[in-house]
Amino acid sequence: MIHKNPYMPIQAHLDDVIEETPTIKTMVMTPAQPIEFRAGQFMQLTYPGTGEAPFTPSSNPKETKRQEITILKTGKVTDLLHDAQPGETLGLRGPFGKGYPLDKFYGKEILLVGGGVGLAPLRALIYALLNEADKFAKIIIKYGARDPDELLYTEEWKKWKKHPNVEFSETVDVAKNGWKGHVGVVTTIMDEVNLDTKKAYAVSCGPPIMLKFVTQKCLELGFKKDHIYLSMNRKMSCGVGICGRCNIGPYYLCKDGPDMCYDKIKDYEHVF
Amino acid sequence: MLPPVESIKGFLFPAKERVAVYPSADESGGLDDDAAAQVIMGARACDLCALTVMDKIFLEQEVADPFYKVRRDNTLIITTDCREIHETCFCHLVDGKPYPEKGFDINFSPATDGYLVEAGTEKGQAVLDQFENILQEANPEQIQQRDKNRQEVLERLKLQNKEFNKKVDPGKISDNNAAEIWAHLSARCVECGACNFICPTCHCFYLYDQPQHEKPDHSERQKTWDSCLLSNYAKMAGVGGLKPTPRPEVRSRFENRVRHKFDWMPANLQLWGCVGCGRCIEACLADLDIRDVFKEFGR
Repeated sequence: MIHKNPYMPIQAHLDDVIEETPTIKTMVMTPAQPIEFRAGQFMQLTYPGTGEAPFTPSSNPKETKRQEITILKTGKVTDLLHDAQPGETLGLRGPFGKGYPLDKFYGKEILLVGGGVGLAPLRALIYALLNEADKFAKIIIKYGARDPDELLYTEEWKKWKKHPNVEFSETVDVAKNGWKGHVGVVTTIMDEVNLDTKKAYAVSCGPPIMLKFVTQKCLELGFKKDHIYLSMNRKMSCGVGICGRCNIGPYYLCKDGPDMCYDKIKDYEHVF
Repeated sequence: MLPPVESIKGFLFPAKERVAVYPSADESGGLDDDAAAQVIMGARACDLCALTVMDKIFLEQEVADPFYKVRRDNTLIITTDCREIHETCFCHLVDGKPYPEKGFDINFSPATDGYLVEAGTEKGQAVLDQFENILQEANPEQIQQRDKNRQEVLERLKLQNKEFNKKVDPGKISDNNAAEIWAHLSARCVECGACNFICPTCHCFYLYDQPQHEKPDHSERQKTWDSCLLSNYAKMAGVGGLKPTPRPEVRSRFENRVRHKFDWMPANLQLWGCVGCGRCIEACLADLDIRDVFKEFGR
C-alpha cells in the first residue's frame, strides 16, 4: 500500500499575486490543509504540469492557513509562476529542512543580512523573532538590493524601523530615481553594527557571491564561525534526503539546512 | 556463472517511475502491492550489501520512499554464492564476501551434485517448505565442500587484487585539499554517467512533471535516475542565463561521487557506499578503475 507519499503535492489556491518589484512577486496561497512551518524551512512549490522549485516562505510562521512565497523571476518554473493569476491552483510540498535555530538565538543579539530576494526567507524569520521579541536582545537588519526599484517590502520596513528592538538599514548597489540613501554593496553598511559580535549570531540570505563577502565581513567583525548561519543555494528536490542533489560534503541541505552553520561547511569546495 | 552485468537496483528503484498523479486523493501513482510483487533470482552477496545501503537511504530517513518500500516488501530475493568472478570484482576490499551471509530470503550454494539451499528469512523458509519432498538434508561433507569453495573464491579475489590489497583510509580520503589527486584520478573521465547508472548504490534521482495524457487537467510526476558526474546535474536557475552548477569541474564531481561512497556514506550510514562489484570498472568508457582510489587513499 502506498501511503504518505512525500512526492505528492497538495493543492494550493492562489489567492493573490503581489507585485513587489519589477522582477519579484509574492504568491499568496491557501493550501488545502494548513501548513505549519518554522522560519527558514522550505517548501517545494509546483507549477502543475511543469515542475517544482524550492522556496522558503516569506510569511509569518504563526499563520498556517495562508502562506506567502516571494519569488524572483529567474527560470522555467518561476517564469510561469510570475504569469500565474489569482484563482489558479498550484501545488505545495513540505515544509522541509531544519529552519533557523531560534532556540540558540534566545537572549542573544542577532544580525540579519539580506541581499535582493534573500530578504524573503529573512522576513519569515523577522516575523518569528518579533512574535516573541522580548526573548531577543537586539535585532539588526542590513539589506541591500541592486537598485532602488528592486528593494523589497519597503512598506514593512516602516514598522520594523519603529520597533524598539530593531535596527534596520538599507543600501543599493546602484543609485537611480533620485535615491538619497546609502550606495554600495551590503557589506559596506555592516561596519557600523553595534553589537557584541563575540556573542551575537549572524544570519544571511542572498546570492552566493554576497554570502561569501558577508561571511568574510562577519569574521572580520569578530563573529564566531559557529554563530554564522548561511542560506545555502542548491537545487533541493525530494526534500527528504533521498535524491542526493543538494549535498555539500556529507550534508544534505534539504534535511540538514537549507541554512547551514558556516563552521560545518567552511572546508568544503564550492560552498559559495 | 559470472555475476550479472546489472545489479538488482532497477527492480526496486526503477530507472524511471511515476510517483504522483495530481490533483488526486490517491497517492499511489498507480503502484500497489500486486503490481510490485516479484521474485529476484541469482542476486549476489554484493547486491545484498547494496540493499543494506539502499534500505538506509530509502527506508530509514525521516520519511520513507513508499515506492521503494512497496517493492522491497513484495520482493523475494534468491541469491547464489559466487563461484566465478569477474576480474573487476573486489568485494573483499570493502568488507564484503563472495557469498551471502544475511539479507537473502533463499541462498543457493553450488555443490558438485546440486545446490545447498538455505533460507535466510521466514518468507524464504515458507517457500522452501513447499518443496520439502525434493529437498534433502545436507550432509557435513557437502557443507565442508561449500565452505572450501567459498574460501577458494575469496583467495582468488585477493590474488587478482594484489595490486590494490588495501582498504580506503577514512582519514586520508576526507582531505578537502586533495584536488591534484582527484584531477589525476578523473583525468580520462568522459562524463557519460555510466558508473552512476550501473552502480548498485548510486541513488540520485530527478523529479520532473508533465501533463497526464490519460486524464485531462491532471499532471504527473516522474522520478528518474540521475548522474552526479554530468555537468548539468542539479543546475540551479539563475538571472541572466547564469545557471550555476554546484560543482563546475569534472574533477570535483568525480571527487563528490567517490567520497560519497568512501567518506560520507561511512560517516552518515556507518557503511561503505561501495560494495566492490566492479561494475563501474566494466562500464567505464574511459577505462577508469575505482580501485585506483585504494592506491591513493589506502592504508
